[in-house]
Parts: sequence; structure tokens; C-alpha cells
Amino acid sequence: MNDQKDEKHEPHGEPEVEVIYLNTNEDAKFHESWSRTAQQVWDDSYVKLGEQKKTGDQFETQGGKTLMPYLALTLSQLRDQHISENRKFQIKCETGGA
Amino acid sequence: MAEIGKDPVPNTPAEAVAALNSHLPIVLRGKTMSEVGWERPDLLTLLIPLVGTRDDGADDKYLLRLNFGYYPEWPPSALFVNPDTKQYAYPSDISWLPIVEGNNGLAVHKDYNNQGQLICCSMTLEFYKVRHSVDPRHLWNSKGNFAATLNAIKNALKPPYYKGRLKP
Repeated sequence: MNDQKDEKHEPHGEPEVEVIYLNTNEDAKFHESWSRTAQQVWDDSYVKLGEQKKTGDQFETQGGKTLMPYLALTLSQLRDQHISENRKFQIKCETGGA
Repeated sequence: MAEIGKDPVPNTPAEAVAALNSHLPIVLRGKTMSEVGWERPDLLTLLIPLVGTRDDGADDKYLLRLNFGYYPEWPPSALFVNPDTKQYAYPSDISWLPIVEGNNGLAVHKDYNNQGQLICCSMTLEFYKVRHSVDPRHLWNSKGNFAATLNAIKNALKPPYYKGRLKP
């Protein structure tokens, strides 16, 4: 319901997304169309953050739920399917070890 | 900067402190040290309470000690410590270590090759001190900060990786 309210009040109907880069805890906040897919939002995040995508990076909600199976879904589909309703995401980078 | 097969070199204390001071507010994301329960017993050390969450939702408390003597060219030293002594003594303190299983990017060793505790992850100093093999893409990036260390360890303390406290 909150997201529907957001949709009416966001400039040009484009909601704000927030993405944290977990290698630095730097974040980027920017507006995206509801029709942008998770993959597109993820790709845009690197530009906004000034980082480069690396093999093994993963896109998640800020609660730690992976979005990798849902990269083809749009922001509105992520909202409607209750996968991400607040559009707060994070990028987790792979480490070596174990 | 961190390199494969190279012994870590300490930074000057002044530069290491300056880097930590610069990165601390970024990693804290607007919160204060007291709000998140962190302590800074000296200029180059942070004590960070962490929680391990098991599959059934039960929690265990840990204390992580980060030292920034080689920072930021090399990652911080990272050790789980006894909350009373703020140190790790082997074998008496092994119950203060978490069991982490199935995480390809991090493991915890109580005494790695008779060299003491090792949080085996390319975001810790000890990983390079023991000359662990590493894929170049996993090397510590000195342009980053210690959020990489902390978040990798926090991730390992969640399901499905965290399996409880190590038993003596």
C-alpha cells in the first residue's frame, strides 16, 4: 500500500531506490522507472556508486535476500510479489578463503 | 597494496589512524560508535559485538577485534576474542569462536598450522600473513575500506553458514 502511495507522489512516478555497496558501505540513491528490471537497476547502481562490477557480485535486498533469481522482474513486479517493497538493495562482493 | 605472496607491511601509525578516522563514519552509515556498541580501546583497534544466528533463529554473541596497523594498504587484522580479556588464547578461548560451514569465502580456524586463530578470508590481514592462496579478483582493494571485512564476517554468521559456538 505504501508503494502505491509512493507511486503517486514520486516525481514523474519514478520511485527512489537505495543501493549499498557492501565492500565500502557507500550508498547511492536515485530514481528509476517502475518498469526497470532488477538487472537494470543493479547495472545502473555501479555507475551511481562509481564502482565496477566484478565476477561473483550478487544483488540482494538490504535484508540479505538474494535477488539473483528475480533479475528479470521489474520494480513493480518485485513490489507486487512482495520480494522487495521498499526498493532498498545491496551489492555483495565475493571474497576468497575457506 | 595487497599482493599475492608478499608479506604485509605495517603502515605508519599516523597514516593508519588517519585512514581509520576517515573510513569510520562511512562504515557506520550515520550512526555513532555508542549507538552500535563499538569500542575503540586505542587509536588503531575496534571492538565490535556481533551476533551469530543459527538456522532455528537462536542467537550467540561474539566479540570481533579489528586492528588497523597495516591499514589501508592491507586489510585489518580480524580476530574473535574472549569478551573478558579482549584477547584470544589457544586453546582456552576456542569457545569464543563461531562454527562456519559451507561458505566459500570465509572459514574460521582455531589454530591454523600452529599460527593461531585464522578468519580465513581475503578481507583479513591474517589471510595474507599465512600466505594463503588467493584468486586475484578476491584481493583486498586498498581503495575500499573495512566494511568489506565486517560485512563478509557478518554474512558468515547467518544461516545457512553459521552452525553455533565451537565446543572445547
